[in-house]
Amino acid sequence: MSDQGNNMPGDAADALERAQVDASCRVPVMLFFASAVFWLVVGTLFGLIASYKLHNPLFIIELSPWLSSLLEKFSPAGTVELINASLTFGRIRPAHLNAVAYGWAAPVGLGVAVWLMARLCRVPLRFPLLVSAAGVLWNIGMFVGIGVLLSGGSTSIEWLEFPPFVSFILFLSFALISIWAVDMFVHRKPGHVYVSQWYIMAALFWFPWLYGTANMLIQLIPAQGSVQAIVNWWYGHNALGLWFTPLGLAAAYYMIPKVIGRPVYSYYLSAFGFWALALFYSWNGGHHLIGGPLPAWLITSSIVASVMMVIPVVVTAINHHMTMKGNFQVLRYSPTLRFVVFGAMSYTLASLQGSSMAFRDLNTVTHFTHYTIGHSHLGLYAFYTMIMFGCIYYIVPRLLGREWVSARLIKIHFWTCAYGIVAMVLILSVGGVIQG
Amino acid sequence: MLQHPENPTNTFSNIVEATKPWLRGRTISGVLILVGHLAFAYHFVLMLLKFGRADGVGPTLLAKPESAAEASS
Repeated sequence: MSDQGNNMPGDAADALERAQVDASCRVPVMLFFASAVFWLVVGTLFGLIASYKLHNPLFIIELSPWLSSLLEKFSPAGTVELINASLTFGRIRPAHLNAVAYGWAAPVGLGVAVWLMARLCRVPLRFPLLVSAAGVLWNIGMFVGIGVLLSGGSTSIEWLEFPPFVSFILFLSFALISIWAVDMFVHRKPGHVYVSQWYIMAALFWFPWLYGTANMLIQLIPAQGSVQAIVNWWYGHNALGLWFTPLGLAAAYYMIPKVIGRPVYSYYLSAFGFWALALFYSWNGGHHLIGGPLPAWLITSSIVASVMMVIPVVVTAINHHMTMKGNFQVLRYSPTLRFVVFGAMSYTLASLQGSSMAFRDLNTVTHFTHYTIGHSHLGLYAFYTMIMFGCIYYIVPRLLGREWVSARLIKIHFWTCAYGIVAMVLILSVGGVIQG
Repeated sequence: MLQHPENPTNTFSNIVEATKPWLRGRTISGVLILVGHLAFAYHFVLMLLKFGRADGVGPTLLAKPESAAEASS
């Protein structure tokens, strides 16, 4: 495997060190990746059924007669009714969100974070069993949680549909990884701390805090009235801004320089972008409640913070662009770089669109419409998911010691997803404005 | 199609109807994405089952790089 990056080519000791780190990551990281890919496919199917039902509401509300009679013969009474009920829009839609967000996005991000931490701390993975156990625990939580959602047990609070005992399993699993990351960081080899490490450490610190607080204030000791909505969107937006975004950026900051083989353009811009994101993103949640029965100052300050997000976004975009400058021809052949750069460009677009949507004038039109759905897919799919695909294409061969089987399959993957997501975002945006 | 937001004669069912073609478009784009994900999942499973190349030729690239030194996945 050729693996030239920031290190001097031919530095055998470094190559050996990297190979040892990769070998130590193999089982836990592949466990996270494999489960994430499983939930990605399941979640996509859920999403497709939910989408189809919005224009053909009767779709598979009744299973076809031959399938029903087959099921009645070979399964306990009531199975057909159970399946019909679990595929209704009200259940399949939260199942889609939770399967892709907590089943795909979170574990794939954790897998990438675990590998990046080991690579950047330059020590073989410590306590691999603990990391694997966290992955197994997480997936137990997912299976129970999706089962509960499909059987109608959603809490009906967006982004927190899982009942408290499932959230607790996920929280526990996540806390294990966070503690592990601190341990890795403490035992790192002396030297420069790379920007990706700041983002990962921040994300792993922020998310358990957010998730714990939100579950506490919404499920265990519920905040009353409109305050509950504030807590809900404080969590909902921060899960995107302070958990998925830093992980996506950490991966982009690692992969782009690594693949093209030159350092990040500016250390200063990386630091500036990081702290500006930390400062402004945390109060964006209020812009989901524009027009709601809340104090005006709360929403206004949230709008201001949303617009201030332009600063870290533009800074990061400049930094990535200047790093790429002169190397755009690499996009032609590197699968990793193609996915990651697509994602990094979408990050800029999604964030600038998000800032604009916080304006009251535009919000009057787009609030509660499909426009918002388009925006969320631009963020979590075109930005985050595409970067994670790129990471998988980079990391898996290094863990397994084998190269991807077929360039054609990678091309199919890239072009269907790229055209698919661009079409989806454009269609939902236009449709959303007409609706608004 | 585009109506003034405060036009009182524009009924709610009208608005819902107007979104339908766009929702169909979303389903079509969703099918495209599903195809991509299935190709990806199939490829990933092939890798898990050790069908990956171990011939030492170097990483799988989408096209031939202009210079060999640049080829680092």
